[in-house]
Amino acid sequence: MHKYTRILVWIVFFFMISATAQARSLQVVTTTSDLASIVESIGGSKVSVRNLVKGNRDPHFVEVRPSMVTKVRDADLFVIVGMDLDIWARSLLEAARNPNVRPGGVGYLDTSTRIARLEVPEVEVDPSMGHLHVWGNPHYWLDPLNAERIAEEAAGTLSKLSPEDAAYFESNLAAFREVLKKKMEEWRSLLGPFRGCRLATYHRSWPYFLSRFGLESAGELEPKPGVPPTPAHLQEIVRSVPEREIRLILTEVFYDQNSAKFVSEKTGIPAITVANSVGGTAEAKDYVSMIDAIVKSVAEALKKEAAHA
Amino acid sequence: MSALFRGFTIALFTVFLFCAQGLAANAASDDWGGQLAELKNEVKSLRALVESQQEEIASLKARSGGIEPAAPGLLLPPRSGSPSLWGARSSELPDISAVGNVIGKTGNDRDESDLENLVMQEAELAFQGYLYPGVRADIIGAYDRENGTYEAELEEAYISFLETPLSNLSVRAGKELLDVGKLNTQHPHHWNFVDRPAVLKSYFGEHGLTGQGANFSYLVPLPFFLQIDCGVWDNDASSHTHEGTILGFSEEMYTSRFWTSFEISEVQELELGISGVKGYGAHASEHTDRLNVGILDITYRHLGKSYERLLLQSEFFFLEREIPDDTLTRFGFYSFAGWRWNKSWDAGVRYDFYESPYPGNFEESFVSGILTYSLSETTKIRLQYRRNVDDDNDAVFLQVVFGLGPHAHPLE
Repeated sequence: MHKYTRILVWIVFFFMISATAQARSLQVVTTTSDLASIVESIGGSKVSVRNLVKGNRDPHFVEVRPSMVTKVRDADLFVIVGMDLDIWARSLLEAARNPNVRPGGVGYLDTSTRIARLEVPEVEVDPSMGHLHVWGNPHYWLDPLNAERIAEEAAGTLSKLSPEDAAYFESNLAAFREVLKKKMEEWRSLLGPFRGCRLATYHRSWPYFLSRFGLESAGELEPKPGVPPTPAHLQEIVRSVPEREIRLILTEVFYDQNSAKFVSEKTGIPAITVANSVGGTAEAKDYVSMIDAIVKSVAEALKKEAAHA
Repeated sequence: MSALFRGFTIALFTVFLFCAQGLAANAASDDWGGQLAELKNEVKSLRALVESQQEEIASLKARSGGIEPAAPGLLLPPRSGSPSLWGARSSELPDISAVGNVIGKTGNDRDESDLENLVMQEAELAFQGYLYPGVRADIIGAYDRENGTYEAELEEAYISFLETPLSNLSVRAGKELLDVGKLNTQHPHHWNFVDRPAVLKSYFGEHGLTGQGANFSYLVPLPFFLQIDCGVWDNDASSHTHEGTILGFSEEMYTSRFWTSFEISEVQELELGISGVKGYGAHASEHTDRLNVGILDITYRHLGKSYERLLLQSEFFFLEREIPDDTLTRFGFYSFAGWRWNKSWDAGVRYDFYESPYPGNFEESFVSGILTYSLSETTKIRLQYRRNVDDDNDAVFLQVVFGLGPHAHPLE
């Protein structure tokens, strides 16, 4: 019995230590790695950020694990992409018993609320049209100007949660904006020469990115959103390359690479794979370096393609 | 006439004057190339200015919640309102969903009904939603095919208080699949295989262990996941089964579960559960029939790249049954190993073993191979081959599971 009491005391002690350790910084949990990176840029040393989905996995489909429950229970702030992308987090929030981070709570942040949404369905959608989101295309984080929106939202919410650090968050936000502004110039000049170029992508993850940099979509390898490419659809793409004027095929890291390879081999159009979330590739260490990597590989591939043509 | 002519002359003269002035200026500078470069630069800087202003306008519009006319093609105005609460569904209606489970069987395993048939085994209808902040209700009914006819049954119906005045404690009340072990709480359409593992069927009945009562669930405030569940229940008379090797519980039951989980790394997680049911066997109304079942469950997940996932799951059942003149101790388990290698495909193997909870030394073991193709998260096509190792008979199952509408289950 004595032995058990001692073990119990140790457990309580351990818990108290971990509780005081947590008190030092705001605990932030985000669904995706992109949100984690942006919130980290704003929260700096005042926050400890963890994300639930790794950047090399599909954020649409996530198996909720018990360890996620503990993270959300201990969170002061829970940040989601919203627009039904991370709808899987709902059962997680119910299991976590932390009303502060549920919709409507002070520590709940859906960063999509002030985004200018693209591809919002005008008609009623159902699964016969593939995996469509009623609120529009949810891949808005791939537009760097939307990252600024996310950062502003994060700064606002963090300031509410920790008013004494508001100035710190505000200055981090200004710094983040400055970095983005500088980088935007660089990215624009890299992609500028390819204005109007048409790209085929695996999934419809790219409208925000493409429209920001003046590129155009020439369709997807998926016949419908979320439906894996069929041989007939790929043949159709191969056949219609001249009329679609496809210059490049873009695939996200977690999708099957063979479809892009097939079209590329049949047509000679280059195919590249890029991260669409932080951590998706080795270069995509944080938000800015991810966009950097995407822009550079797209620009490089288009340049090569132009030289070849 | 003359006034018009005079006006015309004046206009012509003015134009001439301007041109002359321009020509003179050009002649004076005598530097066309420089002028052009200057103009080019000016146009360039103006373009940059326009672009940056457009960007600013767009960002201001976005900030004020307006529309940003940036994308060509499918741009449609965003809906009014905010999506910050999940799903764009009416708040008046609960989430309504239906799940269908179509099973075809063939082979020479005579313990299976509907052999050589393809039947709608079960159609489930669910109503789920919030009643109040932190309070939700789930009602799940099912039409289940049994011996060639359909029986309507209330599978689960409960109200959940996600928070209570005691922090970390939540309470459920109503009828539910009892929270013991891993598989019992899951509905068959959620499983990685077609059939109920033999040990669960034998010890808990063909529809799993359900009860009427209340469950208290406490998420222990520790840095790792530890949840303790305790429940007090009365079993539904309707779910009694008395056939062959199947026993099941009756009357009042007490359940408890300790469920813990460790995140070994970012991609590995190990779950452990210890649970127990204490109560009476299905024959308690006829003779002494005290029944206790203890379960140890282990689940290991390893997430690879993209969609890859390795799942190892085992549940070990320890049964103790007190009947007149005897106390039976029995054991059973199943082990499943599954590998998903892309978004659509999933394969697994399962081994089942159990000792019959009746007097005598009857035991059975099965080996299964399972292949699953997923169209979506809720719609799957599955093929399973199962061999009864002791009886040398085989069964092949073809299953189509489909889900309509928003359907949710609590963390399993």
